[in-house]
Amino acid sequence: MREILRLAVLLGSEDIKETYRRTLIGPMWITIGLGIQVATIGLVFSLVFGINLPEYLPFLAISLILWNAIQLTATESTQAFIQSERLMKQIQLPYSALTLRVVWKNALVFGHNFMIIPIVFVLFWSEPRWTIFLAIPGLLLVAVNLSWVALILGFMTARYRDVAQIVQSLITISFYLTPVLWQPSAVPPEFRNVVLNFNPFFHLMEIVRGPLLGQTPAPTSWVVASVMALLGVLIARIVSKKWKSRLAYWV
Amino acid sequence: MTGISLDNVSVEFPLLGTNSRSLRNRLLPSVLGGALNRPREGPPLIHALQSVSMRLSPGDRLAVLGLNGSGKTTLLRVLNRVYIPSSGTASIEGTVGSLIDISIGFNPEATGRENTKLRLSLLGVPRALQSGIVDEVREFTELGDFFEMPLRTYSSGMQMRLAFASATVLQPEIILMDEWLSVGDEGFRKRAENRLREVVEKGEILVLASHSRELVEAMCSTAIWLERGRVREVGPVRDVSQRFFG
Repeated sequence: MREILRLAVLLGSEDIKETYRRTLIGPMWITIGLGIQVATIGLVFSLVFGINLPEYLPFLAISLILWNAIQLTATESTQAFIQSERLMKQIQLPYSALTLRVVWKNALVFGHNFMIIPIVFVLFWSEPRWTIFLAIPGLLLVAVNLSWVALILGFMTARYRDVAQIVQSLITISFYLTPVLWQPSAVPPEFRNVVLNFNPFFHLMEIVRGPLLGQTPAPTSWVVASVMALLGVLIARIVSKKWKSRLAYWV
Repeated sequence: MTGISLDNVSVEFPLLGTNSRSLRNRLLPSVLGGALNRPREGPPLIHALQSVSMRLSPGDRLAVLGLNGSGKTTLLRVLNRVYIPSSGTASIEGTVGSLIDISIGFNPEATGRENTKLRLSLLGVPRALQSGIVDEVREFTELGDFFEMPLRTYSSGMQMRLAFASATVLQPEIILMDEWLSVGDEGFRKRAENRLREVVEKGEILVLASHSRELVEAMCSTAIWLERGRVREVGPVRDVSQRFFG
């Protein structure tokens, strides 16, 4: 396992270095783009819907950055194996290193984008509370969940290429169904269960966003995210055990 | 101990992404390629290898002969532990080095040094051992300062130098080759030839797929002749190659 992680980190870092080469600030362009997006949406929403900007903007910034990481990991992981076809047919590799590479790469991108958050906090001077430390286990749980999803999506897309398109559409739909742009408090109590609690993305967002905004997330969110991580890793192990010997023939 | 043992190994893979209906129309009797099989359900299957059995031990030099699509590459991939047989058992003991696609995993934007390190990591060489090997590669390529420059600034000859040096710097126990490697300008080609011979001689088992009669007769002791995924003949290289090349 340590060898796999080391290889994943090496390949993922190489991918990031790639975006830095021959450019001045490399992946920071993504960060700048995202920052502009946060500012624009914040301004428009506060003007059109009369939302209180100092309250909304920190929420929006964290939500968008986190969603960006989830979305990129899911869509890029569909290509994880297909992209490395030549490599896989020449060198015997631990396959999970190729999907963990995608997770690590996007963790690094997330790290770059995260710089927006302190800027927003300073601008609207909201004092950080001790709860921000809870964001660390939250982020780890998100990473574990993304790791098993990435492995399964990698396998599925290698076999059925349509999966890449399906993931793309599902992620776009989920973006509107999940409180990223809109706040969970806007949901009427009688719909809370249907709209929020049955949405796995909601819980993943909550366990990182809540602590950063100075709230302690509901225990439900922790439980759901942990159970998903455990079950998911288990399923991913079964899938990989069953399909691993066929993967080289599919890509 | 180093050794290869294949027992009734068959490899079949699905022809994904082909329209089986249109394929049916085009299915004319052919001497090339593995046997095609279209089950009632699911994608058509290619039988790339069918019940291949063989045993190799240290000192063996095996030539793999066959027309295009007879299963030579598939066999090499099985020996490289990349393809896991659909049925039968393949047991491969020892470190395997493939000299088939030597510029694998190179990144044009990374420097020669970075690319060499990347290759070594992919092959599972621990980081502590890497820097010594990298220096060896640098010396052999004679790239000098270009070793610290991005690969895209190299001429194609320089790229081949780097690929060759980083592919042959490790001494595997089992060596897989698809034709002989010949790279570089006059001076480098001689050194490369010597290096390759040395690696091949030090290796315990050589498996060489080739279409060249002189080459297999010079390098190998036994030969296996594949035809549409099946073993047509096995024996001393001279006998088999005489019948194969006619």
